[in-house]
Amino acid sequence: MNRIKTWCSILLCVLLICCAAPTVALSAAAESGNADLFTREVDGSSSEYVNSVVAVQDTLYMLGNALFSYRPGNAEPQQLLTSEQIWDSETIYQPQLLIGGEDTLFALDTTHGMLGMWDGRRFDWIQQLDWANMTREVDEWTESRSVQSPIMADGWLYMLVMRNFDAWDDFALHRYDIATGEFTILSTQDVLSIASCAPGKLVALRRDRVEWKPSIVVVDGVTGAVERTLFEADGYYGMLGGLACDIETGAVYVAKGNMVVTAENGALGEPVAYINADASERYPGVLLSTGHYAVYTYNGLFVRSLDPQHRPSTVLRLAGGYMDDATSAFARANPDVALQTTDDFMFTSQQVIEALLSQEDNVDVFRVFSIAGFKGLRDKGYLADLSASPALVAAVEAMYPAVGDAVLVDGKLYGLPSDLSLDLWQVEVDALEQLGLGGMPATMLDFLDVIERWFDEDMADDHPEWTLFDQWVNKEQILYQLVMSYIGRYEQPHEPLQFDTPQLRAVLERWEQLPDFGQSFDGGGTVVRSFSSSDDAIPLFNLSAYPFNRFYRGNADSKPQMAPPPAFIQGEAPMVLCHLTVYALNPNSTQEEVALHYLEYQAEHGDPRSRYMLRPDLSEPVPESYAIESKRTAEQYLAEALEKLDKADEADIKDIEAEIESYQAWLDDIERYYWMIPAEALAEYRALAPYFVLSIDSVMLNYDAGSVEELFSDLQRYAQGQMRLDEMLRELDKKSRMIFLEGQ
Amino acid sequence: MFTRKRMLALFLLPGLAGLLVFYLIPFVYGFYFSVTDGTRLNEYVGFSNYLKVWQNPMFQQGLLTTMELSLLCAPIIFVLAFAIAGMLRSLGQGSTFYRNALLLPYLMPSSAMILIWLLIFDYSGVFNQILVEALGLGGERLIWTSGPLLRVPVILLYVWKNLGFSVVIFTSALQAVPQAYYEYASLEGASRVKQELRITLPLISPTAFLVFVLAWINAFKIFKEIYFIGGAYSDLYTLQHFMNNHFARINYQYVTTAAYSFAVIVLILFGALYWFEMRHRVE
Repeated sequence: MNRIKTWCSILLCVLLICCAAPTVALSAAAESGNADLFTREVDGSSSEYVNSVVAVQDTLYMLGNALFSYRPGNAEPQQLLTSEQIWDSETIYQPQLLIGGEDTLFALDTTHGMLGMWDGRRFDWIQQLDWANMTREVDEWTESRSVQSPIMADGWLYMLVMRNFDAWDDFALHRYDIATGEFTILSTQDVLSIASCAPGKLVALRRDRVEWKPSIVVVDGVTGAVERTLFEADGYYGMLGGLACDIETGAVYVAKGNMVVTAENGALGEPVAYINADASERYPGVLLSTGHYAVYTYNGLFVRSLDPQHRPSTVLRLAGGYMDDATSAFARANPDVALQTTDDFMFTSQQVIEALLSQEDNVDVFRVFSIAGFKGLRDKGYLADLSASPALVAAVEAMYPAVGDAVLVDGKLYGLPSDLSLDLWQVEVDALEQLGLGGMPATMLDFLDVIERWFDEDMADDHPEWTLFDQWVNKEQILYQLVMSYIGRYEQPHEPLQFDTPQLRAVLERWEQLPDFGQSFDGGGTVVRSFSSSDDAIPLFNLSAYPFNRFYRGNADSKPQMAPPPAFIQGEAPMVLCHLTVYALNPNSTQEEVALHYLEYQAEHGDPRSRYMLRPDLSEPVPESYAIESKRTAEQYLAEALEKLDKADEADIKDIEAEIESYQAWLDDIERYYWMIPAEALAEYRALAPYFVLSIDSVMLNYDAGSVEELFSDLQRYAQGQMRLDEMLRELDKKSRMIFLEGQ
Repeated sequence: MFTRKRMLALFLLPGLAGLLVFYLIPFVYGFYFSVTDGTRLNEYVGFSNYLKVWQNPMFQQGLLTTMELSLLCAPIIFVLAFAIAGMLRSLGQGSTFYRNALLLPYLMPSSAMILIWLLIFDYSGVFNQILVEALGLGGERLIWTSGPLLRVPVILLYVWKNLGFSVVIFTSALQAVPQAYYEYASLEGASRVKQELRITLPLISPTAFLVFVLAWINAFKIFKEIYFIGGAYSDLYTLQHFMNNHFARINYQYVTTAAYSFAVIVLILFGALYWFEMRHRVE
């Protein structure tokens, strides 16, 4: 009997702990007040659209399609105004931007320049601001000059206003007198966001427009004169955003990537909080009187306690990565882990090793490129073995064999492939045939013939709807493309690559005969391309398609096909040169378990396009997440309109039919961009997969060996006429032999 | 006495500590790398790295080029410095300005000089403009930054930078030679050249040896000039290129192997040179 009682007591205790633990955890989360609101999911869908966020005392206000309020610790935001209430056709003015900073919530109608004050139920439009030249009519629409970062400070309204309709990213700092609606322009230049930091002072995030160096400065609230610099970068610094200031303490906060740090004494401090997305310099942060920091990002709105007690105990450091959707979702699913991403991309194995061995940085996970020393790092044991994770091994074994073999060697797994970058063109084959240019060129000589004919026959003028290439292609870049394709096709691991061959000579001699083409700037700063006569022209050859648009199927006017670069000799098999990007684990990492968990999450939830490119077993087409919602909405509206048509009076039929037509046009439009991975594009890609050649063994395309720099140096001299073809080929052969022999 | 020795040791300590930390320990540790496999775990492989490196054609190429450059540059420096020092001696007090001017390149940072050299020897640079346009030689510009012509800017740069220092050393040595010897030789009918070869050189042979050794050592170190002008795989591929490129490929075992191999060669060469100098020194 006693034994039974003991066991029952033990069982009850266990049950109690199991029930209490989640409650304690939830309480801890609730106690910190940390929250992720309106987050964007892995599939890209978002729970709500928000673009203006302000703080008034202890309350956060958010405006998008609707108006919401939120206090830290609450489960959900509270809706104050619905979309219909905001966009009520009976009201003249609508809140389009919120304004916080003092004790009352304000809003700005950026179309009419009206300032509204929140009275608890609605906005009372109290003052017309001087809004001359702030809007213009474009095709029956009213376009407003962009306004951002509005704040109330010391009874004045400050905001950043675009200098003119075409001045992208060039804002002037306006100071409005609320009593009169008049404004003055302060002298501060290159400002991206502002916050109030002390009576009569503002703190501003700036970015130099020439060198793209960010800085954080304190400026005078009347003149805009810079009084103090809190931080200034030496060069390009990556993304800073989410500027906020605590008026009581004077502490200035900014989000560097996904880390919230302080800015003082010329430097940025250690992270005080982590958000699950990269901040944008366009969106300022806000501080609540509860000691919380909040910032809106592309991935959602994040509220974080600045109390050190609520900082995550585990930090996972990722180098060469960014807060992509999967990383952001992992962070949300694991709130006890802080993800610290840096955009330090490692282009050589030496850089990876320096980061590996540097205790100060202590990076846990790297993104390493196949042309930047991955093989050397793998063979020399600088990458941890991940085979302890069956999920990761299974994910890699499901990939294309060439990809799997690059990372899975002798039963050890040295990384998780994350991206495949392909030397694959997108070609408007049908258009080439229609234009009489012979369809997809079979050889490089045929390709160069097409270019020559385009210029000889002035086809750009005769066919302004088409252009030869995508944006920044010129004659010199065609040369690089030719040589890179040659290397990918002919380089062998056991002998030096020979450049002086009949096929390469023939192609380069032909290239020399091409006219000099490219792009230049006219007197007004507009780009002029010598191979097109219209900015909207569709490129016949897109030579630099990236993974995010790899499966792009064009639109009504454009139907590009995926195609490997042409061969050098008639009848040669196609060849697609591929470069691999791999997530690798630092063998010195102290967070191995968390890192493995993160990589497993990436394997399952990473970008669909990358996963489909790596894994042949995935065959279902994938829709765009935002298109699913749009299509559902459009179909719903269409169904409602059709229902209305059945019961409509004669007088209303025409209007409803027009409405139906517009919804059908909307659906047709959605259909064009509906698929992220369309079935047709996927089939094209799968058909080309047997021709993939991984660059992992390439010596000529390896940044470690220095061969890429040598190659480009000689090609550049040849392109600029400093070397003849014979000399250039001789130099390349000599260097190829040296590079090969050096590695023996 | 004991206190003085202790004070002496105390003053010597920082220097000795630096020597230990920055030279001796790395020297020993570097040798350890040369007998391991170069992986993160550094497993012992004996002397197989040495065999592999010595058989590598690019190591052999680098060694040959390094010796070639040193045998070209050191004698040029030696002869020019000796001749210029002799000329400056004849100027007397007026030589100070010229000596200082010759020393200036030695004090200039190499990177700045290389930039200037790149401008001068660029395809559209001053050198080509003078040669081709001003002198009208054939109408075709020459490529000085690659191919066999790379030797010209590299050797010129080396000589220009290092000549002044050697001149200064020779100048101070020449001042110690008694003038009476030259007067006597002149009376006997000896030519100027004979006087320099039979009187000056023997009397300053330790200094001359020093100048030659320094010039030779500095010539071994020619790398960054070639690297920044000609690249990592130029016609002047030296031993340092081999080491630098393998360092970039994270083959640390080959870097240290090549370095220690070269150290042994240099020790043998200088040993032979020192023996020769000792045998022919004039006491």
